[in-house]
Amino acid sequence: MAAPPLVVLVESMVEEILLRFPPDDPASLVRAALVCKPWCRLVAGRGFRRRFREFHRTPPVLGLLCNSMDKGHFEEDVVRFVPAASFPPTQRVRLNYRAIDARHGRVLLRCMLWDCDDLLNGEFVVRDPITHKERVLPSLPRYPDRWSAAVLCAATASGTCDHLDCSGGPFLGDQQCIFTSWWSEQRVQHPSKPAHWLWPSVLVGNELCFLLPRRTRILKYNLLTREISMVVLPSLSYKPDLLTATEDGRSGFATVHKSRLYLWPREDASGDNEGWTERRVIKLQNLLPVKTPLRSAAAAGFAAGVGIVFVRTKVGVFSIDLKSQLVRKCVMVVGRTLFPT
Amino acid sequence: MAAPESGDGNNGAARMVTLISSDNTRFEVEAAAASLSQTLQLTILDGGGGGGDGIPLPNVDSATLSKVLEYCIKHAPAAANGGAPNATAVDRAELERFDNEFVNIDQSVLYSLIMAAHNLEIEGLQSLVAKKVADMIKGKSPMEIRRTLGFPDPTPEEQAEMNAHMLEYGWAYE
Repeated sequence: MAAPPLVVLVESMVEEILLRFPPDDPASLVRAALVCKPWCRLVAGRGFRRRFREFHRTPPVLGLLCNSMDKGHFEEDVVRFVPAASFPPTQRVRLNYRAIDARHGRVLLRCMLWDCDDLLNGEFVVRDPITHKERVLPSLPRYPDRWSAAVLCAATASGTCDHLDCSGGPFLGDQQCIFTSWWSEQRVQHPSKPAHWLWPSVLVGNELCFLLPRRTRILKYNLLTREISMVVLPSLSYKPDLLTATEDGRSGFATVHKSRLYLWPREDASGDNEGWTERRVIKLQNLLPVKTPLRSAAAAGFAAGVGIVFVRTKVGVFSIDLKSQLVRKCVMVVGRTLFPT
Repeated sequence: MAAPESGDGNNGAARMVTLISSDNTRFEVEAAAASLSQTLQLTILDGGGGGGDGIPLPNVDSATLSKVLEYCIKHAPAAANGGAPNATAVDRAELERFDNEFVNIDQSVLYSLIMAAHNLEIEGLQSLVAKKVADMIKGKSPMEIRRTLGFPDPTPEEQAEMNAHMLEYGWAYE
């Protein structure tokens, strides 16, 4: 019964143990830090943080940013942070903002304060969802009719960062925002009003991919060459809900159609427009709880790296792990687009 | 095991070495298995441990050493291949099954194993026991972790400090 005291464990042994704590449960490390002072010093140290990320490689999804329109007195943009893991209390609802992108431990938000049809202050904000540090970006001279934007670690193109700790820098200046715009394909009623067509971008190797408004083409921006190219999506009876990326560095798309989740990875990474194959069809009835209404279900978010697709239904959002097919209900509120962070 | 007898050979499968535990029990084991220990590997490479000499291990008792060697013998063939492609999924599954069973042991034995794996620098074993301890304590509160690992009860000052921190980090206890 009387176990020999383990307090004699040298620091390297304690570290070996704590490194093996589950990455998707930050609370377990907080509790371990309160065991005694040496453990606290260990867990709080930057070296441990770095090694913890190296050990687990793939950062877990800590939460989701959900864009939606709140129908109060006026219809207002609102972005909610919904934790998917144990998470310290934080500002979870942000009125008059919309999430535009999230990557490498950073979130890109845009202020959406309207006066009639005029956007009063469309500033962009880069935010660290863990430390709450924010930086307001200098405003652009003008916004075209249609645009999208992405946030990413500034060292992405050079390949010098493994993105395991790039969010841990003391400043918010170590990331890059890419804006892209295109002329409208059709006249819209409110030229300056970013409507419902803003989908999350995906990063595939050195290329940022954006789904264009009609969802028939992908705009690719190469970070190294700074060249823009277009990829035509296959003509199907359904349209892509969002873009995805495979582990081996190929772009793709996902969509929910007639209660099935369709996954289309591209066969090759070259610039031609051929090579789309329907790789997987997942019957949602078999995965989601019985009686989940699937009529208006759609793929609403994709977590690159961990390979999780988020499917929005009328009763909430479910995460589907593409590898294990493990399903979890994660959000009650229904947002239009989701940004896993 | 059926390897031809080679005169020298750093990891010659037939070469045996003798290890002597703190309570003077002698263990004869293949050099390849003992070489999983970084500490022993150097001595063995220098040609030590053979014949009547034996390598004394004053920090490891016989019960622990036999357990450690059980692990080394099981893992030596895979380690010799260096995770080579000819390691089949079946082999890996078998090792995994063995590992799970291996750490399914009394806490006091587990602690002796941690110390031995650390002293002998057996990477795979260190990792295995660290994972086991992590699984034992990860869902627990700080006090439960202290009790599980045999820390002495906190002094009143330590207790007060812990309470204050637990108040501050209430979200981690929900």
